[in-house]
Amino acid sequence: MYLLDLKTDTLVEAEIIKATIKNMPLKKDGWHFNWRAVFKYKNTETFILRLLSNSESVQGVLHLRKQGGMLIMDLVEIAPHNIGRKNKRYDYVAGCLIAFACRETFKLENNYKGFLTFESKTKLIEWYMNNYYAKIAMGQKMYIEPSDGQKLIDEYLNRKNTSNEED
Amino acid sequence: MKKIKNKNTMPDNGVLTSSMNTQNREFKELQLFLLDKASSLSKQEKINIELFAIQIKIEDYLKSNDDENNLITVGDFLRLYINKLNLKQNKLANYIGLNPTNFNKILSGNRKVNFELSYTLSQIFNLDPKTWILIQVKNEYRELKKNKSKYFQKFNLEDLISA
Repeated sequence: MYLLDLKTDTLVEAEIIKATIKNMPLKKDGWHFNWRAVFKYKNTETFILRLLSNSESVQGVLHLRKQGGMLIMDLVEIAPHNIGRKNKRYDYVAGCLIAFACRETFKLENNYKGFLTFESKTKLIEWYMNNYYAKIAMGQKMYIEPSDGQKLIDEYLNRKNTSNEED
Repeated sequence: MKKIKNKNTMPDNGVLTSSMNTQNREFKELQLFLLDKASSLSKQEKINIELFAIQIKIEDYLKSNDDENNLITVGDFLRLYINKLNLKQNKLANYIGLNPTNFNKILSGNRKVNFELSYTLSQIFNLDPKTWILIQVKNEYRELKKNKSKYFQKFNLEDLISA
């Protein structure tokens, strides 16, 4: 998978791996959530998105929870340097994390297979709808259907870096 | 480079979700809502989900470290397709031009998949044509490494040159 380096307008290779307490980002570095606290939660898995070229640099964190047979994208945070219009460093971070969460839903062995659900921040509902095919289930609870999840996986996780290919 | 168009401004804060309360009535309603959505999918959509789920299983297996996970054979993955898609084993064998006995040997690991068969099966299940060969190679390498790695250590270029 690739992130878009907005400084150089090039794609940079990235990976999503299972997080450990050791490689979690810290509040003192500008992150909002106390990510070290999530390891005490049951039925959850946490992943970090990082650059292949710099394994120390976490670009985003994803916390998934299995509850009632469903896979919930419970917490997502992108790195402070990837927010905003002016100084944002890498694009596609949220897309890669959401697509990864969608991919995980296909591992469910029940009727919820392929469905991702989550609770959006109020002001982000439209952003999810417009950018990530999410639909409103009720209130702020949203979901992404299997076919749309597949589109996101293709778009973000299976992206080809065509700039390296010869004409 | 083709950029993905963000139709809205990115969030001004890095936190994109609120943790979901799973202990209230609304959560139960959400479960029912999604179950209803799942049951209203067409037969073809349900097949696509199963196909994609197995594809992911294969991708993860091929990417996994050779030392981790249990061995999953070509036959195991083929049986997954057969079971999840309610296929008849003999019908599949005949469709791809294989004698059912020979197909059964592939399922049980007593016969290897060749490139042509890998291509055919991949075409049916919407996979990369090399998929079945790659599973086979991974498993053969893994077994060889496990059982004969000491034997291979005795070979080296220096010995060959000085011999």
